[in-house]
Amino acid sequence: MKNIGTVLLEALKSLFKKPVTSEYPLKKREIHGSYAGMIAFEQNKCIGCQICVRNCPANAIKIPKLADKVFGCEFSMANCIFCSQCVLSCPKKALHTTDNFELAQIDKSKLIVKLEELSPESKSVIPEPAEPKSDNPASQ
Amino acid sequence: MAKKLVIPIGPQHPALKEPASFDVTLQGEKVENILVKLGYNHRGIEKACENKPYLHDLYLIERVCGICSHSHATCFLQAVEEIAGLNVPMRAKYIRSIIGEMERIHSHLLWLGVAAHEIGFDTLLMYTWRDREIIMDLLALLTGNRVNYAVNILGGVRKDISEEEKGQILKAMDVLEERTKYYAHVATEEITIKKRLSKVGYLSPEDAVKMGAVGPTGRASKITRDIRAEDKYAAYGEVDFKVISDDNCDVFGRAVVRIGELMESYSIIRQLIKKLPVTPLKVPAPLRIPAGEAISRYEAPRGEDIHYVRANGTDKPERVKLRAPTLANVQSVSTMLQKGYLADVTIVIAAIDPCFSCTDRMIVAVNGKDEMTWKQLRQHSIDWYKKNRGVDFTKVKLGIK
Repeated sequence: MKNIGTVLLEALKSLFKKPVTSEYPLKKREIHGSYAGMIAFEQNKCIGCQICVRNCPANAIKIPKLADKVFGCEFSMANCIFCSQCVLSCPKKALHTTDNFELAQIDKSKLIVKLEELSPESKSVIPEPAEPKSDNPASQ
Repeated sequence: MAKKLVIPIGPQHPALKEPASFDVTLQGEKVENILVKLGYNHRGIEKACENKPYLHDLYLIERVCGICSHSHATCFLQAVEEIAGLNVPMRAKYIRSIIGEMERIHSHLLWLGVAAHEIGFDTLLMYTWRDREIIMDLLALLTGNRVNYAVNILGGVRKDISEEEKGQILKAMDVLEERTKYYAHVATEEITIKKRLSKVGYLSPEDAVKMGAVGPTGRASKITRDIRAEDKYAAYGEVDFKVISDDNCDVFGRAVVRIGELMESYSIIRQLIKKLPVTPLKVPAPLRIPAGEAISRYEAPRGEDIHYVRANGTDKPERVKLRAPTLANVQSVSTMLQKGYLADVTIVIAAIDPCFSCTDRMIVAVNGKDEMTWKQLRQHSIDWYKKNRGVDFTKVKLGIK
């Protein structure tokens, strides 16, 4: 009977420790820069090559032509599988991932976002792109 | 003589996390026969792969399993890379192995918690899942995602491991090793666990071979087979590790094997990090893969994963066949449960670490005729549902050619 309750001591010790779980949403967790969250779009860099549209495995991204040499980015959060293949594919680095993970919506129509309208100064967008260190992104 | 009873367990059951059905025939409290019924989660992934380019297939294959997603993706890519004749750089192979081992750690810690939960030892569940967060955070740091890491691309990997990240990995390994030693002590010394798991779900080595048990299920029955050691894929040829096996042949043995493998995984990751060579991360890959076929094997956390890919020179594969480890292991459940008790059914099923959604495949064999076109098959399913279920599917239009 010596080996009964081997976890007991550990369990008792835990009574005097801080809880492991965090108080989300009161306290937000720190997310590192390489997190594959919401996609951000830089309109002035986009050349409208449509590689991201072709390579997206989930049909989540569309690049409509807004004016001559000006392109928008229509992004569906419902379709996106957050693989960040578009970020990897973009030859001009116009797309990058952000740490924004709170993407749930009650209204379905809000799931489709026009990324060019989101201001780059918005809190969720990190100015520094998460660098996918690829030599030739267009080859994928 | 007690009356025979047939108890249906599943398809929806609190003890099973996924839909699968077991018809247990009972003689008193003893199990006389168990009938395993799969097929509740067929997703048609193999067929879908044939209609998508390789780049999209990669992400689809990654979603075969939520827990061993990297295993499936790597296994598929190994086959495609073999057909295309791509020489994956060593650093990419090392990173694939590191992520693969991390996945094994997270899967085995998860299993340990689930198994503890099935036997009513929820304290251990809470502790193992708490520590599993360390490895999940590490995976999120390295790849950007907690699950479905998407670190593989055709011809290499997409993300490098920096010096700072190396330090973080090693630090996490130290913490986890310390914790795993404690779990090893709890799982092997604690008398309640020992008594609950010993002699439950006995699978003799002969039966294990006969039933084709793979991975930790087979290794707990003295079958010392591990694809990492046999078919040194990725960077496993460059590290030293033991193939853990056990001679208990029961659920207790399966727990011992998995805990032993955790310790081996920490050592493998440390060796890989230490030796990480400096090479490019990937080689340029073509969009069209030349005609050819290849079989690739991979030691997923649950056992041997087999992928077969046939390419026909276009950007889409002609055939993709995958055999998830659970399909090999699930047959042995009926042998394990013979002369067992009803109360042991859930823990014995949980002990093979089942993943039923990865397993569900379609086999075309109707009335002895084993060849049907997709059109005939669709017609057959429409007729079957009309006759047996009274549902008319003729109006449903599907894009199957």
